[in-house]
Order: sequence, then C-alpha cells, then structure tokens
Amino acid sequence: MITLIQFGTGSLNTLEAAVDRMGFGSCRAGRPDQAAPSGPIILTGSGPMDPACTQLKASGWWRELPQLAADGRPVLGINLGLHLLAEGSEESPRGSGLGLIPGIVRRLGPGVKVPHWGWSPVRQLRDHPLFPEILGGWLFFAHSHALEPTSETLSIAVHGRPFSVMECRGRAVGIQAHLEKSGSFGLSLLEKTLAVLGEKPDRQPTTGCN
Amino acid sequence: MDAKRIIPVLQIRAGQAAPESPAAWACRLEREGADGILFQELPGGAGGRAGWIREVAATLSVPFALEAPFRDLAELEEAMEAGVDKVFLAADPAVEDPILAAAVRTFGRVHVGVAVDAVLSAGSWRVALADGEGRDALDWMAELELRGAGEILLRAAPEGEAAATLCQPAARLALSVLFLSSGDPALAAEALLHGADGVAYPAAAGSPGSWKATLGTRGLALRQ
Repeated sequence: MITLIQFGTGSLNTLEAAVDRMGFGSCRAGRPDQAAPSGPIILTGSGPMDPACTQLKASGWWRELPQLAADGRPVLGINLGLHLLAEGSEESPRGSGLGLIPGIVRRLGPGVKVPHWGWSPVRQLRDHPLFPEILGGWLFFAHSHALEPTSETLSIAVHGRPFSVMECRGRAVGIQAHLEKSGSFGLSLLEKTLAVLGEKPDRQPTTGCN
Repeated sequence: MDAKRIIPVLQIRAGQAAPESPAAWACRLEREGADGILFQELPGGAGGRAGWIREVAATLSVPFALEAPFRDLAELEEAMEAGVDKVFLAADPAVEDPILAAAVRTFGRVHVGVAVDAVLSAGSWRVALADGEGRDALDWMAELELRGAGEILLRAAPEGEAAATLCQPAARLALSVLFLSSGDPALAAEALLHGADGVAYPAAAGSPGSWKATLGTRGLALRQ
C-alpha cells in the first residue's frame, strides 16, 4: 500500500484520486506511525520549503524517512518532495535536506519568469534498466527552484537553463513535475514509477478524464 | 520552450457550472486538450465551494485555478486544502491588500495570482476600476510582481493588435501573464504572439482542440 505523507496546507486530493483510479491502495500519514507497514512512501508538496521542513520535523517524518529508506523502503519525492530529498536548497540555506538524492536545489533564473508554471517538453539524458524511455512527453511544472542536473540525472527540462526532472538513487526516486497534473502522459509515468518501486494495483483501474 | 497554455474558463454560480457539474464539464475539456481550467466564481457563488473543488481535484489530471472574491485567508486556505492549484485575487491598486501578502507567505507565490483589468485610454494603458480609470497598468503589474504575485490574469480592452502593446512590455516582467480573452482566437493570438504565456477564454467559445488548431497556424508552441 502507498503511504502519502500529509503535511502543510497543500492538498493530496488529486494525487490520492489518481493512484486510486489506477487501482493502487493508499493511506495518508501525518506521522510515521500512521504509515502503511510496507510499500512506497510519497512525499509531495509545493510552496515554501522552510514551513515544510518545520512540519516534517514536528511530525517525526524528518527523522524517520531516511531510516526507512536505509531499510529499503521505496521513497518517491514529487516537486517540493524532490527538493526535500536532496542534500540542500538555496531556498533554505541554513538547513540541509534529507540527503537521499545527491545535489543542491537552486532558484530558477535569472532572466526567466519565476515561478515556472507551465508545460515543458522533457528530454531523457540516461537510460535506466527499470524506467521506461521518455519519448518527447510534456509535463506540468509549478516551481521556483529546481535540482541542478548531474551525470546521474535521468531526464531534464529547460527553463532558462536545464533542470533535473527525474532522479533515481537506489529505491529513492525524485520527480520535479506534478505527474498527477500532467494529463495522460504524466499519469502513465506515475503508474510506471510506482511499478518500478514495487507497488502493484490491488484492483481493476477505473477511468478518469483520460 | 514551454507551450502556450490554452485554458477554458468555466463560470461557477452556487457551486454549479450550468448545464453540467464543474467536474464533469472540466473533465470533458481536459479530454479535448485543455492545458488547465480557470473557474470564475460569480458574485454570491461561494456556497459549497470546497465541495465542488474537491470533486474537480479528484477528477482532473491537469491544473485548475479559481478566480473568486476571496474575503480572507481562511477562504483561501479552504480552497487550497480542497485542491485548487492556484487562486487569482482581485487587488485594488488604491488599497494596501493584506490578503495578497498573507497568501504569498502561506502558499508561496507559485499558487497566487492577481487579476488586472486594463483599458486603453488616450494612448496609455490604465487600470480599469468600477468607477473609472486608475494608475498606469504596467506600473501596477510591476508592483504586483514585487508584492509577490506569481502570475497576472490580464483583461485588456480592446483586444487584438492594441493589446499586444501591453502584452509586449508585460512579458519583460519576471512573472507569467495569462491573457483573458473574450472568446475570439484570432484576437487572442496577438496577445500570445506578443508575450502572453497563455490564454483563458470562455469555454462556450470552442473546444481547446479547435483553439489549438487555429492558434497552431500562427506558429505558436502548443502542447498536443
């Protein structure tokens, strides 16, 4: 079963409904002791980083998530979730990230519109034995900061300069785009990512808008 | 390069977007190629707001925004918690607006936009107010950027080539501009060609697919 970490003012409604339509079971967990006993843990969100760190520390997730990942539990960070999984961010220079994905998150720009709110084409940089090839799909982005790409980055998009769209280190995956807001292509990528993380649907999928 | 966003607008009155439910209509528009949906709440339409937003959030897989006469931060928190991706506020250039600052602080500028009505008057673009014309529209948009707005929802009268003279300098601001069209894709194309990042138009004025077919002939980058 998928565990959706609940924190802050953001809504999990769209992501929760998307995985439900795909036939996956999920539960919300405000604290680590509310997590499902197994299955991927999804950390998603957007907006300011500092309040997110404060809330995750207060709920115990900040301490527990690296330990669960070290024990082999799959972790998926989406948007702000990817930033939190990284080593650090310019948005929160006095703190550090969870360190599950190498690299530093930097502010977009200068010379481009920030926040970046729009649909961008995605380009694959590296093959991965498990992830499907991304063939020129468009994904939806809503962010002011992004992880700098490295030689390990799987895919990128460009907003003034290239930024990381998809990272995979062991069983920790980070994705900058809001897959649940990226139409049928995003949903398909989300489904494949969950499969890579070992999750299987427990019932027949139902149809949404796509 | 980002695609120019093509965003149908649905008006909400008392939680309904006649003749269908907001979720059903928005879902159809997503299938027809919409890059997002803008809901506009008509005066007196706040009833049941969280309920229909929750339904839309659980149905759509493209982003959606709400322009509404929000009265306080609690109303914004309710809409965001229900699942709306962005809110557009109405800010009065003559009044210091506490909601905008609080919304940006709470949700981040990525989720907060401001609607601006502009009118061409004696050769310059002014902010259109209920009781006349206000300050220079471009100056006002620049100030909104400094106040933390993440996007401008821009109405401009007249549209077409005239509006291009506002969109062009507005495009140099470091925040995106969603142009609110009256429903003619030929006129909206001028805004997009001159720097607007997307166009929002009345959903009754054609499917997103038909708008993309028309706008695609002008060489605009669009998500297919």
